[in-house]
Amino acid sequence: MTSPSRNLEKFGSYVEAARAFFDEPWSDGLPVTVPTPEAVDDMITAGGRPGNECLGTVEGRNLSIHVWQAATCAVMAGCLPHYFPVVLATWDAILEPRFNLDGALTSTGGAALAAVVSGPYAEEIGMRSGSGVFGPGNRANATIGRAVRLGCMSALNAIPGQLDAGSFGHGGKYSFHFAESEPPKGWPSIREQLGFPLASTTVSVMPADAPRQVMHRWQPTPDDMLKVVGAAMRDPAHSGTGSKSWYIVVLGPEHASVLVDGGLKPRDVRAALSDLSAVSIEQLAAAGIRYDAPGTNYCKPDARGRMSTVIPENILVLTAGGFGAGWSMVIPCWSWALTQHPVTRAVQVPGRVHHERNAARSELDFA
Amino acid sequence: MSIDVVFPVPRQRGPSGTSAVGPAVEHAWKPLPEKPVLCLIDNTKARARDLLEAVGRSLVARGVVGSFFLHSKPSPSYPITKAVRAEIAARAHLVVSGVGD
Repeated sequence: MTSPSRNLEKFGSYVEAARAFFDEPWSDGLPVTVPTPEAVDDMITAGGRPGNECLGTVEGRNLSIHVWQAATCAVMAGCLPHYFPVVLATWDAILEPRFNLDGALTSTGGAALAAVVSGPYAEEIGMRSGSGVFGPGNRANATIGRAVRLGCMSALNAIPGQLDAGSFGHGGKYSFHFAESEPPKGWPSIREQLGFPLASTTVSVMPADAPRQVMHRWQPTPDDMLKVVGAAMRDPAHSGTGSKSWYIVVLGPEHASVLVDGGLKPRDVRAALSDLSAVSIEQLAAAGIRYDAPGTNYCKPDARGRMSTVIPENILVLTAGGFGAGWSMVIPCWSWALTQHPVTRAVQVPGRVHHERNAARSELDFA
Repeated sequence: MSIDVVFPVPRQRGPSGTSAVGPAVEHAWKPLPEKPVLCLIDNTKARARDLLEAVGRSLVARGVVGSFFLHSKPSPSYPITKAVRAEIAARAHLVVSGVGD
């Protein structure tokens, strides 16, 4: 048994134990799988790292999380043991100081931890990338993200109304892990765009506002397609608009095929969306926002009087979702680029080849 | 038949069961001087500075603290660094953080 015995308790029955978890302030409000010592040990073993290893410390809170705590939360969330390497890769990503986990967990903006899993291990463990990719219904998608959130709530004290000051929160705060679909022909996967080998599996994590659906089902041209996505990203009501933020753009199959058939590559899409998402002082004013009001964080307007929402290297463009009328999703970052940085980490599965990133081959700043 | 259960952190509510948990951190409290210096962390949200200036002046006028100063963060979501924390700790006896909304 790797877990410290001081956190062991005895209950008369499974049901009694399961009820006890609802009483804790760090409950997410849903039932948990009761973490028995055996189940926690199985989870630790599947991760291939010592149970007492400290995954990291959130400096502003003076709080840390260890592998055994992450494993306990993974059992509680309903993870199968072979999901645990993805859970650990997510922890490794968000505990990088530049991710600013303290800010993301504390902010009144109420950020979720949006995580894209790219690579063969996502398919191997059954993560969903197609219809209903953002849920519900897929165990891996639902429980991996939940495991991380439960760890944030318990070990890192991210409790709503206390150190999680999110004014609203949103559904993604229960879980927001999903897989990238097989990219369209001629498009590199996001792990390749980030400089990782094709055979690797990666997790890219960004603190995220609620996702926004983008509809265009009236035979869009590639130019139309870029404009409608750019317009969704330019929404003056987002905190990152005009403030050099980050974005995850998830193209559904129909929308992706319009761009692919038009001969566009992810690099072209990123460049166009960066330009189309820039916001002008007049557009802000039309939405009731004064760009120079005290406390705003807009960047300096360019020669055309527009402020950048996101630079091309800060847009993660991928394909996911199912066939339908013509849908995509844009996921705004919680904050602007100066205060945090999305991070990508390779999933390390025990007994398998460890993959490294070649930064020189990366097109993106999401790593 | 009973069941053993692992908790990720010591339980805060409900029966204590078999757990025997002490305080997580031992704080070394120091006695305050007669006229302590207060630092208020300005998170830079709209009019936070005005509000905190008024609060600080009021606390001085009431004799609660001897003096006060504000530390303004570069932006609301920007974490305070170790170096800044050390600077503040060297100047202030009391710090109130996370204020200004």
